[in-house]
Order: sequence, then structure tokens, then C-alpha cells
Amino acid sequence: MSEPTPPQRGVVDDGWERELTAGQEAAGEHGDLDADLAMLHLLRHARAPEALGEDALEEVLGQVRAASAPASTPWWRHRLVRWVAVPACAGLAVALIVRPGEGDRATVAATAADAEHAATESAAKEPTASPGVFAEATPPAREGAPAAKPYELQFAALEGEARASLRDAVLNSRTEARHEWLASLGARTLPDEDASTTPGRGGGR
Amino acid sequence: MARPRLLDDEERLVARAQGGDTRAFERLYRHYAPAIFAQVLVPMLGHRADAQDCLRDTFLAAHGALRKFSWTKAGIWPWLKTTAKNKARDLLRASGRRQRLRGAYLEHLETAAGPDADTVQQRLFRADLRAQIDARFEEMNPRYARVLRLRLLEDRSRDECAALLEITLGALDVLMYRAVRAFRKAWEQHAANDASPPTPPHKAATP
Repeated sequence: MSEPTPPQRGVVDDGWERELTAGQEAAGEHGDLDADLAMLHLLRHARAPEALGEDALEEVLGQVRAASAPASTPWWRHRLVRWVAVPACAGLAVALIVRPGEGDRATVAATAADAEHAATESAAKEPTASPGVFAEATPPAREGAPAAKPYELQFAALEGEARASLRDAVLNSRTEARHEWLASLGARTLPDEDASTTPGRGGGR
Repeated sequence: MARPRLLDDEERLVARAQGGDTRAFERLYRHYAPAIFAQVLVPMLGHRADAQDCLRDTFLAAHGALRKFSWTKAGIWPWLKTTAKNKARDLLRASGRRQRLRGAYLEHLETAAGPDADTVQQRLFRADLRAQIDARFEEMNPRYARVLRLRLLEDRSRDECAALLEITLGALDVLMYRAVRAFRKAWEQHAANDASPPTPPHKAATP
């Protein structure tokens, strides 16, 4: 026998089975070829064994390394991950997501507090101006919608100020009309009475 | 190619690997993995990809159980070899033995090497294996023996074989098929005439 040289085809290459099968079919025979294939492999192995190859050697070593890595990882890497990387990621997430949300909520809360304060002041200004009529017009706060509540309070406060202005305007007009009416009566019966105290009138009339 | 040679500093390397030195373990791997693959796993499994998977499992198991290994003068090779055989048997059991044994030839190698399982791997590549093959060739039809020599041992191409034998490629396929079958019968007949049957392998106390 000659000295072995690198084989063109390995010991267990699929091509050997194809070659055997082709020969069996050409011979017009059928049946299991496993035993014949094993014998062919033996002859090829006797010539030169199946080589692992440098790439495959390193590939398997990489798999072994990867699978056994947790046991051989240095302790400081674990700590680095646990005490630095994880808190940093968490802090970043808070900075990007949680804090803007909190700022929005704080702004809304401050606005709501201001509105509530204004509404309270407005109500204190008008203790006698038939609050029942206007209070009934104020929509009741809906339950189960906490995000809408500050806006509702703000709206109520603004609505209260507008209603207070309206009440002032109505009262002023009413007072003015009454004075005009009294003035017209007084001009006929009491010409010198209260002519200088009528608002906007002066003493020229 | 007999068993891989013992490394000069193998005992120290094993001790370092047992202490967690990954470089020492990788040096042992690079030295022994090719032989485990070629001499144990491929003959046992008859399939390259399976043998590669099993090689990985073998060295993973060895990595995990290396602390239990007790040093002997034979070095770590026998322990690794037994580990590899156990892993190959596990793979065969897990994946369906009949299918996986397709093309496996360890049994024929053991027949050639005799009943002493411990020396099987050492004799795989020795001259007596080739001598036994040549002896079977002498018993066969010379044309069968010639096509097996040309195609399988001398690694000549199909075209070259067909030209040397003065036949067509189709006829070469038929001749190869019949020659392999004739060689198998001669090999098995010789094994049946042998007084000592092969010893079935037993699982050793390795991972």
C-alpha cells in the first residue's frame, strides 16, 4: 500500500453512500446498505482517519468555552454588571421615561391648585350673590377620571370668576337703574335730595 | 497513528486545569480532541456532525468532572476516551440507535484489533490492521480487490479507476458495490472463525 496522502473525500462523507447506492441500483438489487457502508468506512479509515480540521477544532472549543463560561467568569465582572451596569440602565430608563411624566403631573397639579385657590377666593368674594343658582350650573366632577380632575377644577375656578364678573355687572346695572329711577322720582318730589350722591350723575342735572 | 503521545508536562497541566486554569484545559483539548474525534467518535457514530457534537459534550463533561480525575501514569487519555465513549452511547440511546449506527464501524475495528478493548484504539492505525485488510483482499476476486485498493485506499478518482480497469463509470459503480459486499462477507467470515468474540464495552465511572 502507498503512504496515505490527504484524502479527497473523508471517511464518512455522504458521497460514499451515494456511490454504493448507485452501484446497487445499477446491479438491479435492493436492500439495506448500512453494513456495506460501515465496511467501506473501515477501509477509508484504514487509509487515513477522519480529520477534525483546525476550524472545527476551534469551533468546538468555542462551544465548550461558551457553555462553561459562567463557572469561569471572574468575580469582578459579575459585580460590575450587578452594581454598575444594571443601576446605570435603570437610572437612564428613569431619566428618559419616568421623570418627564412626573414633570407633567407636577405642572398639572400646580395648575389645579392655583385654580382651586382662585375658585375659593372667588366664592369668598360673593357670599350673598345667590350662589345656589350658579352652583347648580357647575358640572359635578366625574369619578374614575383622576387625570381630568385638575382640568375640571381649573374650569370651575375660571367659570366662577366669569360668573362673579357677570353678577357684578348685573348688580351694578340694577343699582344704577334703581338710582336713576329714584332720582327721577326725587326730581319730581324732592328736587334737592341726594342729587350729588347719584353715581355718574354729578350735580348738573 | 496510535494513541496520542503523553504531553511532557501533562501531569502539571492536568493539575492546573483542575485548579481552574482554562489555558491548561485548552492545551489538553487541542492535544487530545483530534484523536478522540478520529479514533473514537467517528468510528462509533459513523457520522461527522454527530461526532463533532459528541466531542463538544465530551470536553464539557470533562471540564465539569476534571476535579474527580486521579492522575495515573497513562495520563488523561484513557479517562477522556472512556468519557467520549459514554457520551457517544448516550447520544445513540437518545437519538435512536438503529438510525445512528448507519455506517458506524467501531465493531469491525474491534474485530480486527481483538478482544482487548483497552488496546483497540492503539491498534487502529497500526500495520496489523492493514495486514488484515490485505489478507482479506488475497481471499477475494482480484478484480474486486483491485477496485477497492484503487478507489478506497489509493484515493484515485472514479474516472481514473474506470480507465485503469477499462470499464465505464456505470460498470465501476456496480463493481465497487459488489467488491465492498464481498469484502464485508470475507471480513465477517474471518471474525466468525476467530475463537475470541469481541468484549462488549461497559460504561466506566466517568462523566
